[in-house]
Amino acid sequence: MIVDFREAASGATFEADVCVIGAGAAGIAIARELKDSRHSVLVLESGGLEPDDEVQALHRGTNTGGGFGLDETRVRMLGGTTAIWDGWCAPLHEIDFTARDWVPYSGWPITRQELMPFYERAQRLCGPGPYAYELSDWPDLAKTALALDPEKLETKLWQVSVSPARFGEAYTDELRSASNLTVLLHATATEIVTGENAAHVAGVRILDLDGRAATVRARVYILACGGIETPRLMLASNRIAATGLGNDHDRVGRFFMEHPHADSGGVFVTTELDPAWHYVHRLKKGRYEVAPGLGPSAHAQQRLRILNSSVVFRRPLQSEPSEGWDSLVKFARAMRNNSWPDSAGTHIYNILRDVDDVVREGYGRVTDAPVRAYTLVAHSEVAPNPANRISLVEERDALGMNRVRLRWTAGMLDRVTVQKTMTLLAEELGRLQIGRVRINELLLEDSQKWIENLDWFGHHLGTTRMSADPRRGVVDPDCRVHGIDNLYVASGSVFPTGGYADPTLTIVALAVRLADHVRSSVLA
Amino acid sequence: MNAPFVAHRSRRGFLAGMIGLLASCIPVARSRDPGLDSLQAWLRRLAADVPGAASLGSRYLEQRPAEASVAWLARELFGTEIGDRGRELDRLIAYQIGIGRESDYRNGNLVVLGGWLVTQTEARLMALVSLRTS
Repeated sequence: MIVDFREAASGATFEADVCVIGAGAAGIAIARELKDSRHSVLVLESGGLEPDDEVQALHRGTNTGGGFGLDETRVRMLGGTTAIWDGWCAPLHEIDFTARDWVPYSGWPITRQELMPFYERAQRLCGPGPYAYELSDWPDLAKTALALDPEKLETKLWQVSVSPARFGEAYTDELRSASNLTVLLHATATEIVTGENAAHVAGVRILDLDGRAATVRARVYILACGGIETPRLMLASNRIAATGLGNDHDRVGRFFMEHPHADSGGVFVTTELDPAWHYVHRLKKGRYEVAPGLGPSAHAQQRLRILNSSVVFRRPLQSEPSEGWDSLVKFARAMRNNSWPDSAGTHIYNILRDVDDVVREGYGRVTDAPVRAYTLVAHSEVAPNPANRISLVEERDALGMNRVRLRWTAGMLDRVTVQKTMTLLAEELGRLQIGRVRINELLLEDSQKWIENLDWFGHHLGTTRMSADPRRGVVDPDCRVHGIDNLYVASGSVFPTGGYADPTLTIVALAVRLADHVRSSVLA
Repeated sequence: MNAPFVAHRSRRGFLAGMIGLLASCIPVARSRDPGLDSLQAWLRRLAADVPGAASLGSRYLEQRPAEASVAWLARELFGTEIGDRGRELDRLIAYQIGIGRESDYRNGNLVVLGGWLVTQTEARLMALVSLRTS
């Protein structure tokens, strides 16, 4: 059932076998996996069934890395941030799980193989087609795929839902009807209460915006509130452990990762392309589409000592690619939202510098000239870095919780990855006589200026990373917080590295795996 | 004072013409230097705007001043000096440029000129034309 905490008596105590904190993709996935079992499950959701500005304001914080507001990329309501996601799904690659000697702090304590059965189950929840992410799964795509040198590039696939699954809507009926589930709306967890040695969670304090307070007691607690709120709640629960829960080795909140989205240049096509060429036109399969990108093979990543990435053909151009046009598009997008783009000065400079290209492109569009080029956008991995971190600040929100500061930046390896991927693309598209590649010149500069050219996906990863070694991570391979026997995390925050793939599918796969573990090993 | 603007325009001119063999039908005015004619003809196959491309050749030589020698570049590109060889030179250039580009793409010998990733062979060809026309 779904009930509203605002209608409960203050001072109440709620009891369940499992308490899930957060009803986003991970929390709902766990609830579904445990529904109709003999275990009672209580899911706490800070928001309601609809967006609410006052609730959403609880997300506010400071982001010193620029690019996005902390309350803009996350949603507090049933379904969480799936309310605004674009429905892109792809699993991580095998190399993403491995320890790479050129990527500090890389390596998962589990393999992709171990996660595979859960990926297939997660796929059904996330909504697109069958679990099929190899070129050989799609004969129509394979037919027109480029004959790439496997030592350099490979075709990498996403599935994109035409109508992304909004978990709050898609699974409301199941949550409502399950006999053992209770979803408590407008109940914000503000503190995880532990015993005196902070080795066992005794309860969770919850509040609503009217000052109503209550306690939840359960056998198992699962934090499923995303890559920012999860460390926030752990750090703020410092009544017994002064540095926060699970933070004996100062790892909670560190290693924040995102997915940069770089306008990395363009390709000027030198051949007649098949009008249905799938690198440009996604393969349409009814309620979902298959979208190919081009990224470095595992061999190339190892040889060039770069991270994983995939470049997609984005906007068609009637003239040649230029940074001026990219900037104009960014400006137009921002203006549509009644705002200015980040680094507006740089964009104005680019537009003026490339005014001839901008005019030519504009003229080409007005006259409906043939498409001659495409912009290229890189989806890329970032290297884990302990200095990129979430921490608490003195300022408090309406519920009295410390707000957070996100301090981070993209690093040199992140830039070099995009630069070298573009070079591989130029080599292969040139060799295959497809076209010539232009690289965004900011990628060539050994400075942080390239960050001005990045967009961000709102993927918040890594802040309670998984490691078998408590000195190197916050959760163990079962996603249990080191040193606490009944506290688990289901979130992108457990990713030790993030690959380039959109993380929802992996988050849900890990959540389903955790639900299995809790049901079969913890509650049994 | 105008140098950056000129370089910028040259880049644009070069980019506009990057449509490979499509440009091969552009007539080439004969000069008194048959070697230069051949080079320019071949450059036209790569870039419709020869002066623009030659300007990029200059930029390549700024990156690699040690290569600023007609004789050295010709040997690297064609394995021989440029002389008055007419059709023989055309064939030689065609063969060597084709082989060189293919090899550069395969082996990752690309250079960045004005943001564009071009093969080293093409860059050297542009550099050669730049030296011969300067």
